Amino acid sequence: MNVIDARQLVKRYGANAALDGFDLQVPPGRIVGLIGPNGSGKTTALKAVLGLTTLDSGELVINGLTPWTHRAQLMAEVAYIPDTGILPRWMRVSDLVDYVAGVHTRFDRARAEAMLARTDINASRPVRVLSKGMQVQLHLALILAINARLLVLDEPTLGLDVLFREQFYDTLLNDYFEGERSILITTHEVREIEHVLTDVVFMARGKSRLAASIDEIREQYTKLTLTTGNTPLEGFIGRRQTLAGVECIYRNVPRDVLARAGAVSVPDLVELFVAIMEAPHA
Amino acid sequence: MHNFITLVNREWQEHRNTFLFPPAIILALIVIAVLLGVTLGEKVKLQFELDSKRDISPSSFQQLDNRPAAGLYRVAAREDGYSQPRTMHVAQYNTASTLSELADADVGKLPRILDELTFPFFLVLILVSLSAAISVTYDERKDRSLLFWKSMPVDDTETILSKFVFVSWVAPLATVAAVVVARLLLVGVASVYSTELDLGEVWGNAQVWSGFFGVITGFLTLGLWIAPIYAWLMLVGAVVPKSPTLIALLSPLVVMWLEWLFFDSRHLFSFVVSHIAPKTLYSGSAGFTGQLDLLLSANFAIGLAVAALLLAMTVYARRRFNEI
Repeated sequence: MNVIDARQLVKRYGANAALDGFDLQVPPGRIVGLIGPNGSGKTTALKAVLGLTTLDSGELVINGLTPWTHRAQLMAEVAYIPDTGILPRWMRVSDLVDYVAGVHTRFDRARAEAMLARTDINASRPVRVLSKGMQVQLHLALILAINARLLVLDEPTLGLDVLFREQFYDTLLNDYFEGERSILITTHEVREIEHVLTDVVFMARGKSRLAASIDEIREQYTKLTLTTGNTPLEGFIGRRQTLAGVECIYRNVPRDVLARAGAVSVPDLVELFVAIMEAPHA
Repeated sequence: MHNFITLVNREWQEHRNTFLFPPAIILALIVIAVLLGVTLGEKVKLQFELDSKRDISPSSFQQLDNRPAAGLYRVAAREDGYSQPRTMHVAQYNTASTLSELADADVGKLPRILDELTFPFFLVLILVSLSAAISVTYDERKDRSLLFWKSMPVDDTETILSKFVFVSWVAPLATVAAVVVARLLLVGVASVYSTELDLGEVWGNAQVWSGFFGVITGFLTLGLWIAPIYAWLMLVGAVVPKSPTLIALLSPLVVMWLEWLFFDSRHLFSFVVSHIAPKTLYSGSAGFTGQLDLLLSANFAIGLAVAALLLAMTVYARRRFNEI
């Protein structure tokens, strides 16, 4: 059974459709990057997954539960870190740990305290005096101590320096990701998470434009950097001029055929994203 | 149940200063007033030989009005039926009021004076609680912590009920404690300075224990009586994007005005005014029977039904509306 099973989700705000037939399937044990430009519907999709918003139509099941009608039960198995600090600023760190321990049956207090002990966070201080990096560390310690089956991250490292960002994803992989657990991440920093993803979903105008595993992408998509003087082969889904020359992205075209026109390689996610977003019918 | 206690405790942690400081300040003022009266203030001995009430002249009150506001006054009052004057001490911040009470030559008025002492505590409590009723649902939206609370496995009904219970019955506990301390303090001082009444008579006259009972049941009753007002404020806090206090106050006024304009009636006005609680509940002087009468009235039942409806709407709003 998929952890997330979303089919033909539609959510409209007046005349604008934030979700317009959006599909998403996440099996257990996957790390899925939900990538899209601003206004593509990522946040609405995440809110729907978390039971924070209603849908106009479509079917959405998370861990066998409908998020909107079973949010409280769902949150026992789903953890969430959003783009900006949402921890109550007036609360002391120790009170926050007490609170989560008080309401969450799957929270491992000892684990959270052990993780906090590895940081410079003083448990007797209120959240408001912590730096942004420390607040993220605190939130991460709380969330990773929850035995959740799905972790939803919405631009979790926004505003953090490069060291914290690196540390964040290391902690995520080392301390959370195992077995049947899944992670759904949205971010603009695609290169930063590329190495941790198992799957990717490109989203635009409320629709999924690409849903594939990283292995499938490596297998199906090819970047051709044209040798000077050559013209690109027909059938590319994206083309752009770079300092290295003209680069074209192809799907399901044999690499040995493309190699006759230039250097072939696997496109990174940013190159693929740009190509697919700019392609009218990718 | 453990969940619920955690939720109520969370509210207490967030709002404890709001509910601790006002009663602490009032209590401190009373303590200072009493200490000044006992140590520095002029100890005024006023002997009113009350052979008849006619003997109390307006000039007597004038004389007292010129005394320091806070002080300890010895008043001798002879009641009908007593051959000797009975003397007792009363510390009161309102001299004229105290004397006017005692001018009735009734030492049994002490409980009433103590009840009046309760009034400023409960008045401030109500004002603070009304403000808190808005902030328990509004502040979490404003600082976006709502998303954190909603990321926990707690449903909105339980959360809203915990907020209501906190505002109605948990937050006032600090005030109740302060009232009890203030009452004990004043009766204690009266005991120490009484020369002609023994300890038992002073404490008996003060009706200390029944007074405490009245205060405690009074604040429990108050929480239910004022429930529709709290529920309304919580609903506004859960819905509006800004200026919740203004909207919470103005929107009923507009409806009241429309009701008066089109129907020439004042039902909403009467309902709101009556549910800002009668003074008897503020002071605890209604007594258990008086409080029971209130709880058995039709107005109470209507208030409770309105509160339940508004709380249900607040739960719905909390589900619907996220951060601002």
